[in-house]
Amino acid sequence: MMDWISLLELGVRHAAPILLIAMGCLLAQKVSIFNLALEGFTLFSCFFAVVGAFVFKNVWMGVLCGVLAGVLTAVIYSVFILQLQVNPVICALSINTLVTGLTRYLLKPIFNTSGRFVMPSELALPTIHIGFLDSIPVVSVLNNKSVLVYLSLLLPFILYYVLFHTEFGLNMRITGLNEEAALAAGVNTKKVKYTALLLNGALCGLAGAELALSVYMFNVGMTNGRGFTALAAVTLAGAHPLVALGTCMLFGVSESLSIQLSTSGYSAYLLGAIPYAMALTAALLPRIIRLVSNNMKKKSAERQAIELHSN
Amino acid sequence: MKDKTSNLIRNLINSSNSIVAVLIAFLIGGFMVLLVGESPINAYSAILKGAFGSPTAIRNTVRFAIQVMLMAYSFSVCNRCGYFNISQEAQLYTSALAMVFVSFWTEGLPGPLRLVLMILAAAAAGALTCLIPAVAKFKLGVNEVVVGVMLNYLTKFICQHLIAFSPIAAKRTSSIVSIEIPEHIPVPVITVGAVLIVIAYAFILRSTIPGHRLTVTGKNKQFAQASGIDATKVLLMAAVTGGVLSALCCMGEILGYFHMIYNEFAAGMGTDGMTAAFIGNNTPIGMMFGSLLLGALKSGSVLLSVLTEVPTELIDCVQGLIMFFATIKFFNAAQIDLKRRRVVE
Repeated sequence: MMDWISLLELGVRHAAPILLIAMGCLLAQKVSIFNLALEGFTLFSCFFAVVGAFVFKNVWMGVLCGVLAGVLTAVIYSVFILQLQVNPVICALSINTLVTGLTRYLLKPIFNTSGRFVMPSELALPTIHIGFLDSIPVVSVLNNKSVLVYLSLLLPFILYYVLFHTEFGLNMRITGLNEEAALAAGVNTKKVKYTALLLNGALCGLAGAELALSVYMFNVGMTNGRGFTALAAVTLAGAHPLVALGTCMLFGVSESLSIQLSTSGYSAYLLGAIPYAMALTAALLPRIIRLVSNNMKKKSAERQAIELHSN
Repeated sequence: MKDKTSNLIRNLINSSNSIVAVLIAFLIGGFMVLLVGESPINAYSAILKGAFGSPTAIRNTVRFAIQVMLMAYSFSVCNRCGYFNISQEAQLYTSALAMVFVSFWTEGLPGPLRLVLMILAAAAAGALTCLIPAVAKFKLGVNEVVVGVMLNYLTKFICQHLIAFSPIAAKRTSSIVSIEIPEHIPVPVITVGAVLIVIAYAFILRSTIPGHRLTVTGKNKQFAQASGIDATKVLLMAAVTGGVLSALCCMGEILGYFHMIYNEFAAGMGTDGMTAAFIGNNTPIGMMFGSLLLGALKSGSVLLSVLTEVPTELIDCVQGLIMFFATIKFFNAAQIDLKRRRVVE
């Protein structure tokens, strides 16, 4: 029988990077930018988090470098789509292609290896032990995590407050809903969009740092579709931060379940497909229902008209 | 006559955009080669040699170029009417699965009949997969990119599951692949077929009524509707065509070269097609040059790591850079047109 406590513990660890990326994605989504470059942002940050930690021999410098790398890619992306008016989807896909190639390529001149680079284990992200958590049965799975994991768990609440209870959040939401109205109301929409995208880059940077430094190594393609999983989580949650916390947790646990299943010989692929199937359903089903119900309403209105005539 | 010359100039301006993008990408790529401590001239001549240096190299280049070209046409026919065909990888996976399943189920039937059934099944699967995001966009109003991306991952995982745990799985311990299919199409037939498809595509787009409808609908949907074209039908037909073109690419790969489904065989092929489409600016001839360039890069990368110390990933970087810069309008044809007109006046 599977040990569900360890499953949950692994789930929290897997959910943390997805959650950080998802919160960044959500900010971009709020200003109606559908960011497909999350994968590229995160992979670039993974690489530079490892570079920073290795060069400065300090894990926190690694986190800083990761965040800076994420912000840098976000700056490039936002300048291209906001200033040069390039199609955001194409720009995002080219960033993903470029970053995948670049991180593989740069392993050679920087570390003189190919494929992966493992650092000494003292450069791992330190974990925090909170004494009193051990005594509480289920919550103890939250113990012994790195500070970035705790940050990722707090972030949805912070974002919820910022989005729905501050002026900045209001500006962001109105920019996403109706840009003309926001402009008319005196909101600097370009500034709001830049801010959202740069925050998105910084959060992807944190996710990359957590991903790479918690295992103190860089592996080519180590984001492994997490950017798109986060996108699926945000789509499923309807871009609401607290619901996104739930969906990210769900996907984190399903990822750890798929790892446990594949080691015991079952097919883990279908579990991997769950996030995407759910997001697809979430995107399509409400619209289908609305279409069908509209059709039915139209029919019943026609019937009423017929009945009116026949009377 | 005057109209024709201005058209030519516009095409030249558009293609010079792509040429500048490619040159910038190679320039940055050259600096990256310097980073490893090699000479860029050596690296690029190694790629050139790997792409055109021997009959085998040229054969490989043609193979990759055809693969990229079909994907580019599939992307472009949808892009013409404002439908972003990002679910190309899903189309490749489903049509590959359709072929292998039909081959598995129809054992005992005569060979040519099986081949025809497989081709039909693959085309249908590709078209249906391409239709899902299209219907979502045009009937339900959902962003086709969301649906397409989710569909890519969904089909990738389903394909992995099927080639690992189903009747079509080859039970090998080393790698997950599907069973081998007995049907083959000789490579020259594929090459000739691809060339014929390209000619047909250019002809249909330029001088037939469906092609004209597609162009008009792509330029202005409201205008098309007002002049009596059923725009939604045209758009969905374009999506079907795109799906069938992806399926044709998949047929070439599976029936001509692989004869089985490899794990994640379609990874990156959608992006390749998109890049070629942007290099070629959606024109049939331009896309041919674009796919030849990408095909040459792909087949040339083999010699790069043999002859020099440069990692093969240079190719990925250059391709990403090309895609990056190909979308920027360095010279804007419309603006230059306007300026010329002002001068004439």
